[in-house]
Amino acid sequence: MQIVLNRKGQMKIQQMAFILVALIIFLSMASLIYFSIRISSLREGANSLEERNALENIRKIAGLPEFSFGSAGDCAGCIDFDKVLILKERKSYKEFWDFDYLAIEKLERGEECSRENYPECGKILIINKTENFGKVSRSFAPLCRWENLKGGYFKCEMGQILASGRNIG
Amino acid sequence: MNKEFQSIKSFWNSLSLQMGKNNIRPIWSNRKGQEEAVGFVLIIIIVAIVFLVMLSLFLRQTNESYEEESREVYYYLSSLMETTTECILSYEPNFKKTGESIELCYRGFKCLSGEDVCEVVEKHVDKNLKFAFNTGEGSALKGYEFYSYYDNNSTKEEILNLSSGDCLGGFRGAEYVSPAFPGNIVSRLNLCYGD
Repeated sequence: MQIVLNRKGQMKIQQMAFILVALIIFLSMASLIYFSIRISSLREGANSLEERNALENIRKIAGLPEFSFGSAGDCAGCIDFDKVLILKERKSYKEFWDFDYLAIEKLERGEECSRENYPECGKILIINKTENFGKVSRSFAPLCRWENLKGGYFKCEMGQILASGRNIG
Repeated sequence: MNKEFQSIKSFWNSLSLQMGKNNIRPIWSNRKGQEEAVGFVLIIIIVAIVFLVMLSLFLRQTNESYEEESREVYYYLSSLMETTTECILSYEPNFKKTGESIELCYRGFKCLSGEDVCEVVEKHVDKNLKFAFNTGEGSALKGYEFYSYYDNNSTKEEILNLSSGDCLGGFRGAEYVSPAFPGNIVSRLNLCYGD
């Protein structure tokens, strides 16, 4: 009789232990799933903030006096493509900004610009310090230049600024 | 106190013996069963609550429609409005910008070449959108839609409408507003990223 009672007690304790273990496993799995979802959404938020920061920093480049176009009235954010071509040839500017990579590109792609093929070209590479410059961020900007045809006028085309470096983000 | 407890216990013992004869179970054996049932129900409630919380979190995550105002798209639109079109108005070389051409299109002007301003500006915008955004298979971008309309708070009149690919899911977009007395011309670009 005594043995039977002890066994019953043991069974009860075992049942209780199993339920507790199962509950702990279930709750820990639920909290794991919850935190993984929270962390992934946080990571997404951090990435989008980083992208926005990079975009703003690149937009600042278009406002720099070395790049900005101010010849034909109001054109906020326009880049003077003629000026950039001259800038490319100036060696002192290679170390002037803290970028690993900086290029101005027409959306209508083409080969790299030089005095020989300008303006029938697509890209002006200003800085390229290293082969491994990491992630390149971009922002759209109109590229304006003097066009000699039909008496001469300022022509603006769609382009983009490509940059990489510690300051970009 | 102890004496009272002893007497109550002996009373219940005698009662239970009598009940045993008549196949009636004592009250405390019922209570044990109730306790187990309450414990079981509690566990089920806890599990159900946790399950519901998880389910609601998961559903909220998947059902969020992706509609966002994008600075990148806004910068694209503002740049596009500054680009020069092929439309010359009145004299050479009075080439018009995209923003100006959209307004001229709304007002029904023609280019010096005799072409309709709307046709020229539509071709120009379409070409620039195709250069900037690759849509279709293998691309994260599934499609885009661009439209311009004149808005004077009481009426809205469509000026341009261009689209490519599928725009069924979420999108990132932006609006560019330029004044066109007595109203405004609103141009909107949506980049669609699938479901």
